[in-house]
Amino acid sequence: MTDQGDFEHTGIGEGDLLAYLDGDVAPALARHIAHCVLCQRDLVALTALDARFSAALLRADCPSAETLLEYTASLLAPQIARQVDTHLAACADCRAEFALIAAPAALSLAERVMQSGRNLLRAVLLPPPLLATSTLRGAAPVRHHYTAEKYEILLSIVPPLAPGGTFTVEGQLGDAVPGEVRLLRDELLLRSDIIDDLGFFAFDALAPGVYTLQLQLGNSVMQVDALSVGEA
Amino acid sequence: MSIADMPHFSLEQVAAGCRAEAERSRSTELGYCFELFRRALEQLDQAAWQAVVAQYQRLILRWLHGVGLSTDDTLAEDVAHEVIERFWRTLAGRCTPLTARFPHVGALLKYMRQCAVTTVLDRRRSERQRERLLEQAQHAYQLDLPVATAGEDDIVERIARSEQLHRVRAWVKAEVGDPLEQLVLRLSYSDDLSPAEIASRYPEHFADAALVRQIKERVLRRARRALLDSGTDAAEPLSD
Ligand SMILES: [Zn+2]
Ligand SMILES: [Zn+2]
Repeated sequence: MTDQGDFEHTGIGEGDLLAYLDGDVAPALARHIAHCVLCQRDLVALTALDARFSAALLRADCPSAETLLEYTASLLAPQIARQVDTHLAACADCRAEFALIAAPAALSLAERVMQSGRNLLRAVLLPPPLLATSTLRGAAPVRHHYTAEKYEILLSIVPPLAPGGTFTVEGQLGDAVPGEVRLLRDELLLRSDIIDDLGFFAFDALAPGVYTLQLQLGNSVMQVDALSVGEA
Repeated sequence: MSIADMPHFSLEQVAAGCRAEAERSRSTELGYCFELFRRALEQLDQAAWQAVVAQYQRLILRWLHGVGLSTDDTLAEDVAHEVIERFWRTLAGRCTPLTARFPHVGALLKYMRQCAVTTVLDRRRSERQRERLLEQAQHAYQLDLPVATAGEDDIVERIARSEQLHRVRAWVKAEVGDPLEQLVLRLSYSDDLSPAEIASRYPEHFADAALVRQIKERVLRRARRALLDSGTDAAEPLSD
């Protein structure tokens, strides 16, 4: 250690190395630290510890996420629940986590299908054939072609015969599979129909609106979302 | 069929009844599904618990997907397993009768979903720790210190996984009693403030950033003797 600037190593005080890490020391001191083997060794140890402290003390006073869960579900002893109360009042991180855990958790339609242990297959709308229905006007049915894994389904939305009348939705499966079809709106079951031997099913007397269809096929449920009936 | 008859049914009957019930989304009922949970959590019936797992695993995976967990299948399955474990650990044998805390199966499923959220939050907390370790390793690297030769990710992984973080926490609890030192540690590491920020926010305690650094370095030097120079695994500095 010959070229260590104007400083003797013994002149290095508490805080100097951290100041060096922050780029906040006089040039002569910086020169010494940059070239002194002992200082460099110290620095390595200090940065290693600094990193460990930084990770270890991150939210060190916070209750575990599981404690927040048990707090939410009133599973904690009253005394511990009071401690969590106090902590929540002071800690924004925990408040944010608590809000996520406690958020009301109504099950969606899809989740209820999953809950039954069945596969949920989302039907994908295929593009219309080139000679699309755009040239047809008036009371022509609108046809949609959907697919989901091995299943194919053709849906026809038949408009009312007279203005103000009701719609009919007719469906046909590519391969006739026994099963049940349900018609839902706003996640509520409206009606159901059985798929016949030829793969047909139908729902008539429908008001305009956006519907969901669920076809129960074996261990899968094929779901057609956002089926627009009589709405642009 | 009423809930009172259920205890006499076979597990197969109850599990099949639960599947049918779930399809009709009768989540507010005290029916077959609730009976399945009751046998598992009140009576600690292992077969009933397996039936619960089989029935709801897919739903848990879907929840996890819904909160943006990676689509990596094996990871999601691991996390789903943690969710199920947590549900079991926090409820089994603890709520008798189950109806006292959970009036119907919908309430149990809501709690199960909260277990899923909690498990994801746990992962986020560890990720934040890793990020911090990585930031510091990168900082050292920029200063051209002789560290990080093994690759930053490896080092971070090694430290985050080991018991070292627990040891640091235990050491601080036992050895840092001075209120000013405690304040500097909290502000530096829990609130992530620089010495200059600490000095400007708490001028009544710290005349300048140099004083904050002095206190911080003093604590780190003491910790070094206790944690790094003890000849154990923790003795490795960041480089090796
Ligand atoms: Zn030196
Ligand atoms: Zn907190």
